[in-house]
Amino acid sequence: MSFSISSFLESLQSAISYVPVTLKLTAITFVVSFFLGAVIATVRYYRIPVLSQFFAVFVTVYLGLPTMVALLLYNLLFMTFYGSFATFFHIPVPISEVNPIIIGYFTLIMGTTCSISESIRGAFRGIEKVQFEAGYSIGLSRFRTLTRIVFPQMVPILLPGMQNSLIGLLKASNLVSAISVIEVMAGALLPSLLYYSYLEGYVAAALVYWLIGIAIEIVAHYGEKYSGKYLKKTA
Amino acid sequence: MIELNGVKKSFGKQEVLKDVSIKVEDGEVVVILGPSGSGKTTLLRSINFLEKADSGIMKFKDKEINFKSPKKKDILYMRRHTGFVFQNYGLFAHKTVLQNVMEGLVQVQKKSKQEAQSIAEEVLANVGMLEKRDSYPAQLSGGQQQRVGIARAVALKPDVILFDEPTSALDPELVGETLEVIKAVAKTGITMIVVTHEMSFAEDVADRVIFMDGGVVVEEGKPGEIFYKPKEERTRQFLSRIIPQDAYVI
Repeated sequence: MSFSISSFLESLQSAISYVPVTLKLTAITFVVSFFLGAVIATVRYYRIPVLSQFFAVFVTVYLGLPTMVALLLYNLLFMTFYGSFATFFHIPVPISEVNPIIIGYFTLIMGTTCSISESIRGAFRGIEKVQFEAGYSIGLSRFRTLTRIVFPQMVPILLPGMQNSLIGLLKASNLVSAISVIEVMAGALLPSLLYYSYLEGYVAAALVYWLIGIAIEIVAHYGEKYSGKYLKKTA
Repeated sequence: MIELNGVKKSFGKQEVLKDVSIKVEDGEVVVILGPSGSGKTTLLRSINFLEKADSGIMKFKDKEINFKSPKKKDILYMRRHTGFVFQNYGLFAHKTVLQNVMEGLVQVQKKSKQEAQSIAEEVLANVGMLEKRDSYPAQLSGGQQQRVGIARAVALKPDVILFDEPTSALDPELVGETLEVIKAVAKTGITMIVVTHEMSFAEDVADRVIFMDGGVVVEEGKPGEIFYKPKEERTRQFLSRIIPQDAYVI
């Protein structure tokens, strides 16, 4: 098997041109999932009746579902039922005009929300009870005790796990190529389809994911250092 | 004035408070004594609803609050008119000394940043912690943290400050400086309810001592009466274990 530098560069260029798609998919999914995960974790931490039981069962069950299976399942359901759904709600957009990336978003958000909610639940346990009580004792409401006292203290606890989730999400985002969304992975393979230069395509894709992953790790490293500075014994 | 009537509280099957009633006048310094498990901390914590008592009535200023069904705004009202000093300090770990004291002034009392800062600096100076204003709690000794904890409570100018064993977690040599600060706060004439094991502090500062055991108030009176002429056998027993009898003074 020979390795053609020129095919590799072509694949790399093509892959890079789809970096924005992958980054957008990863970033939006992460932000939305983080917010939803925080809500689920908070509801479960305060044991809000009905909702917390519902989320407990849902998260437990959903975490066992592989992303690829979920993606193909939702895609199939979408393909099958979009027609009648669109007719019912009088949506004039034909199925061919709908960007399949919305299925990708839905799948990734569902899975990431569940795993992030578990990380945040763990972080709740890392906060001493007296921190809540101190917030209440100076007259802060429950909500503001959370946002001003508890959540900020969770940041250094959460960062390593969030870095993990974000990189996991970045890597999982290439699964959406299975439902014909073109992102870094599929982009790298576009020239390969013409020249059968698959090795070069895969290596190019790997390189791009690797670089983005390292960038995330570097940012997280400094974030960890900065956000945990109050934990140090000396100034 | 703050008045508790018939306060009851159980943790599961264990009854921690069995019908406790106490009354504290404005400006009074009341010390609650008692062995561990007597319910004194639970009583103190139920005043600002860190613990939810099962039943009883609390009268505070012109409010009358039923412990059975406190309204959200009543809970917030109590918390905004009382200060609380924790055994384990409870400083906000991610905030500097100054930010700890300013938090309630800015977020709850809606004071401007400048005004809050000048109040905070004044109070920190009073507890001898102004120099450490930019330190984080993790960088302070226990005694220093507790002084900031006291400053945080005092800065909000509450009607009453509740102290929950403020020196129990401290190294013995740091107890003195913390007690001095609490004494200084007491001299300002603010109403205080203090749960403590420090007898000499109680004797020096308290207007009244309440002795609790087994979830009831056993005896109350002036410190001199309680310490030297206790009426109840249970009080005498407790004190004999805490105040060294026939101690040699060298």
